[in-house]
Amino acid sequence: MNLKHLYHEMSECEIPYHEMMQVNDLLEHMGIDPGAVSIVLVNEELCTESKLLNDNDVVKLYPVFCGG
Amino acid sequence: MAYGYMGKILNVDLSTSKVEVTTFDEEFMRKYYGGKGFIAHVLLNELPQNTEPLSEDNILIFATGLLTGMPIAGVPRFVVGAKSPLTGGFGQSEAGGFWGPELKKAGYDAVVVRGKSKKPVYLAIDDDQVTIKDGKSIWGLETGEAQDMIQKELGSKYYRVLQIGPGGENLVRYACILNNLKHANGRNGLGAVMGSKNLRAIAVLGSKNIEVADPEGLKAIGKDFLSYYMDNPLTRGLYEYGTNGTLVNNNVAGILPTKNFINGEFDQADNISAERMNETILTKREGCYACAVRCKRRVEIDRPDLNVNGRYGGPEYETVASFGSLIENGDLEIIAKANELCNRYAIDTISTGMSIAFALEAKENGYFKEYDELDASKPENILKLIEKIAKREGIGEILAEGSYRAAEILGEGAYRFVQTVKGQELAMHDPRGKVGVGLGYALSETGADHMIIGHDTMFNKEGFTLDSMKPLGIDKPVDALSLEEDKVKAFVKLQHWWSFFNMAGICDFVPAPRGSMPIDDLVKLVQAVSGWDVALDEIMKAGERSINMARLFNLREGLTFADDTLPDRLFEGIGNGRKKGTKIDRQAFEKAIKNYYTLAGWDEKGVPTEEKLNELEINIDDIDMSRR
Repeated sequence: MNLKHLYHEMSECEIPYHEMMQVNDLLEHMGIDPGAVSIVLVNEELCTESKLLNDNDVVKLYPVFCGG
Repeated sequence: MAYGYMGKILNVDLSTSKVEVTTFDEEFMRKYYGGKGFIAHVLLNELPQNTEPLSEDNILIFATGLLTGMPIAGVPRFVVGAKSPLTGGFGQSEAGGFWGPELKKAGYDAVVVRGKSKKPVYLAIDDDQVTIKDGKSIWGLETGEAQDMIQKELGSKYYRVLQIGPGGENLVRYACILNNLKHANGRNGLGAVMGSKNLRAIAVLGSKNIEVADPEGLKAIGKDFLSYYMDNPLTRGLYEYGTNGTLVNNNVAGILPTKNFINGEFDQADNISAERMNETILTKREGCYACAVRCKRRVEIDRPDLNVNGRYGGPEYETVASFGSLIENGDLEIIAKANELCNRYAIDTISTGMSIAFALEAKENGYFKEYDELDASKPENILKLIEKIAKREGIGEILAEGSYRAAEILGEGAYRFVQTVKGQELAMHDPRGKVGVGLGYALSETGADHMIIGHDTMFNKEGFTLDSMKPLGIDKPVDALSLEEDKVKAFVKLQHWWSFFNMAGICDFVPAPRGSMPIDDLVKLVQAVSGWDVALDEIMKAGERSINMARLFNLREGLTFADDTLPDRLFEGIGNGRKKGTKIDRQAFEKAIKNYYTLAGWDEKGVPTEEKLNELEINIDDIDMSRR
């Protein structure tokens, strides 16, 4: 499941990198409410939104989806 | 008569064929509201201690709530209750669909069934006309055929049919009760209680209006909800993907129940995901009475070798995981067929999948050697096993008892493969990734149940879900793996809030925090329907009251604080994936349970104190508590 249905059809995109960039900055850039993201993977590892990013990192975001 | 209620309870004694209507006053309903509140009141006051659950002395109760049947999203629900044949304790299970609203429109807030019929029967309710009908011709039929026959016999396809299937007839200890062939009161084996009374179905047709105190206020809340509900990502996700939208998330997070909870990651999860279902077998999004969210799925398959009929709905997350990752099956079409079969036979998909997972692990470890159908490499065998369980044939005779009793039959060494609490199999949420769910499993009056609280991931960080919980007094993020006091405090509040949902007929997918309706609006909704000047505090207290009453029932029936625990496996590390090695610390968990007792106003053995019972206006003198 990805965020494209919830956020402007964005399923995959490239974001310009800057020093000390966090996942949070990425969300802000994409206009995504951090509360709407439940899981963050950076290079396939579980992370929080405060994770510092390196250039060319691959970030995957999974929307909040509680219970069921 | 209280607004929102019909003011009548239909009492049916199947031993004497006597049908009687009783009434209740407004004060009574403001105290118990309906659902499990009403059920707890009846069971505590009327059911003799130590009643055998499958005997004619058990009482089977169908209870709607204050909001059931209102013309607004998220309030279609009703609850079935009895002493559970699976746990031996307080049994209750909720369902949505259409039957609850129809019962109210027929003029009744609840149906209470006592005794046992000498021969198979079904009950037909057409407003004030209530008839016990001969059920011989439908006994033994699958649910679809039985529903068709009942509607034909009664002369209208508009009858809403609630029924058991062959599973309940054969007293499978986790037989469920279905309405419209696909909405299940799934848990606790209440279908077996219905079967033990020789009651196959209750068909209802209603034509009355449910009076409310402030119709304009109700309309305004409903209209407002329709203007914003799809802006909420959780609600939008439910519409787009159904409950199975959570499967890939759980897998990525390393907590998807896999291989009987040994593992947390399933390498074929994408094959059974919601996206895959949308792309392949989904034919329609469906919903319950008056609900705009439409989280239900309809799936259809038309292959020469495999046909799935859409009238039985489609698999929800719990079902996909139970017949998928849990038993390492990556074939979505087999899962869809397993769901259909469980609905044809009316057995609980969670406990069925869990019992099969138990048997597969037992086989791997040297038990069940003579049963070739226990073969994890052949997913199609799942379908044979479901049939055998529902019909109690071969290995099905053992597995129909539930995994705990099956282990008892196999011998002591087999208990290590059992994943139950109070005898009920775990739902498809691994507490090793969200420990509040573990507290819920351990403390639920019904045994392992994922439906009694909001899950930890709703309040583990800042965001719109945490914001929405602030009226409950939960305003700071708590780590999903924390068992500290702030987690237990949040758990208590969420437990009371969820308990009220059950009592009032509310689906947790509509109000905050799981849904988009603000908590204040739900309070206004209760006010508009009832006309009572009720505040959130009173609602929470009502939720707490029914939890305490159910607890008293369990203590009376011999359950103790020692039953408030989890299977050993959850105190061991997850076997693979991103959460490999993650476990619940047993000492911290036990401390959290004790902490809960204190916060709940219970003593160190988990018994509600006199002060707490007085505060909740529960009169202990009326209850035989000799086994406390």
